[in-house]
Amino acid sequence: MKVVEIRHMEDCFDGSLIKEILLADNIIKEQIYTLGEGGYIQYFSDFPRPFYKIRISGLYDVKGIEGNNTMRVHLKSPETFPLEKFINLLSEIN
Amino acid sequence: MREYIYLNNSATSYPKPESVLCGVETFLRQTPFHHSRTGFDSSSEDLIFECRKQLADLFNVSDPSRIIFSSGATESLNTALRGLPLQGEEIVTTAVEHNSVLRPLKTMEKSGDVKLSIVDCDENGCVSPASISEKLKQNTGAIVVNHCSNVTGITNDIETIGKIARKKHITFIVDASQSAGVYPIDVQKMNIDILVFAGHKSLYGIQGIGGAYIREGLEIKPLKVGGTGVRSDYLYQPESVPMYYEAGTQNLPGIISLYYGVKYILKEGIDVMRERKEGLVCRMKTFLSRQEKITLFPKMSCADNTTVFCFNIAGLDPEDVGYILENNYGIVVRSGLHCAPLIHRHIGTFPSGSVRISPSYFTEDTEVEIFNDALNQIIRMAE
Repeated sequence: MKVVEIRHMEDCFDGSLIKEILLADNIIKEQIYTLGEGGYIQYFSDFPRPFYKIRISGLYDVKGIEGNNTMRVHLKSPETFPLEKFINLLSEIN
Repeated sequence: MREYIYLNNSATSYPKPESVLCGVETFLRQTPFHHSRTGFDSSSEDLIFECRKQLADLFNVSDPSRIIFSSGATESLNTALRGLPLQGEEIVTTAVEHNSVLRPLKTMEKSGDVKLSIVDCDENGCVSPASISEKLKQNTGAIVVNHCSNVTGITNDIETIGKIARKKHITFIVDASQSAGVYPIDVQKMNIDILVFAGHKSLYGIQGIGGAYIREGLEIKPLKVGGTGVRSDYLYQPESVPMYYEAGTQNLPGIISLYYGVKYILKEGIDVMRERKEGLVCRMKTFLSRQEKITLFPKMSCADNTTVFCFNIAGLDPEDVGYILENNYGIVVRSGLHCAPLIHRHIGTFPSGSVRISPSYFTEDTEVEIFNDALNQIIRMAE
């Protein structure tokens, strides 16, 4: 999964880092499950386009829509798990 | 049908009336005459004065020069709170305030300039005048109250609070960011000393314009001083209003937009516009109130009209609901704390906040149906 662009997102809460990530290709179901390995995955298939949310406890949350080329990552402890690590993780998923 | 269904008008109204768009474009295409140095060839001066006059009419202000322009409600509130002689005094405010009130006050409290007393609200976000009255002391210098909550849409009884403030000779500051252009406001009848408004919400101006009414006789230092375009030989800020508070280049496109926005409201009728929004909110609340998994805020029936409301779905994070609505249905709402952190502790939505819905006068009936259908799907998904 190749990252094309990263955009900082604002939210109401402090102490966290939220980024919108633009990917080169649309995300598919298999990639969602690979990304969520070892964590808690919610995959809501009943929507016209399924919504997913992945929670890797204490490190990050990821959410997005299957078939979109964007996802939103909420880094819970950017000191120990910075954005670079997440980008590297994405690049390892085909 | 528009590209997105926009239900976030409490943040910024969209779309703007066509006359606002045309007025700003026409202005930007004209030669930028300096209004006080050009004769009748310049039309912008007329619109600046006419804008003050229209706002004065809207708020029942007898002297339009008591209407000052600013970049928005935050700047107006900072002007009022930092400019009033409040050192050593106590300020009474409420839990329903936006951070545009809370942050200046907490900063002033932290630096030891003032003491702060924050009055609780009820589970709907309403503050009782009696609870404000109970907090007043000999050294209370000001009362700051939000007219309409940007979270639940509930309005506070400004007229009764104003009577209390006037009786005790306490400066009464009202944040009308959400209510200006929605509810009738009469600064004289309501005994309001300072009325703060945002221009880009229900007054239909563009972002970056707002203002305040400041009662004659109040001593308020300006937040900034500098060029005014007149009396350039004088090395201090000219003390005549409104220029005393309007140093620097005026936001003329903003003022022009506000002029046309307020003109539109006066033409359509403030009650007609509000009732349209109340009707849309009622239709959405009626649908949502039948859903077991939905909690509505305010927790009251449609008979208690509001133009804004918020909700949560059991088992779903409000941020996720907002994300799904925008990315799967093209419906733009606002999720989270809505820059009003304290009210959530009272209405039961802390710490995650809520999903806020704020339609416009221009929201179409079909858009409400699409919203209700989308929520129906999301609720089923959460089961």
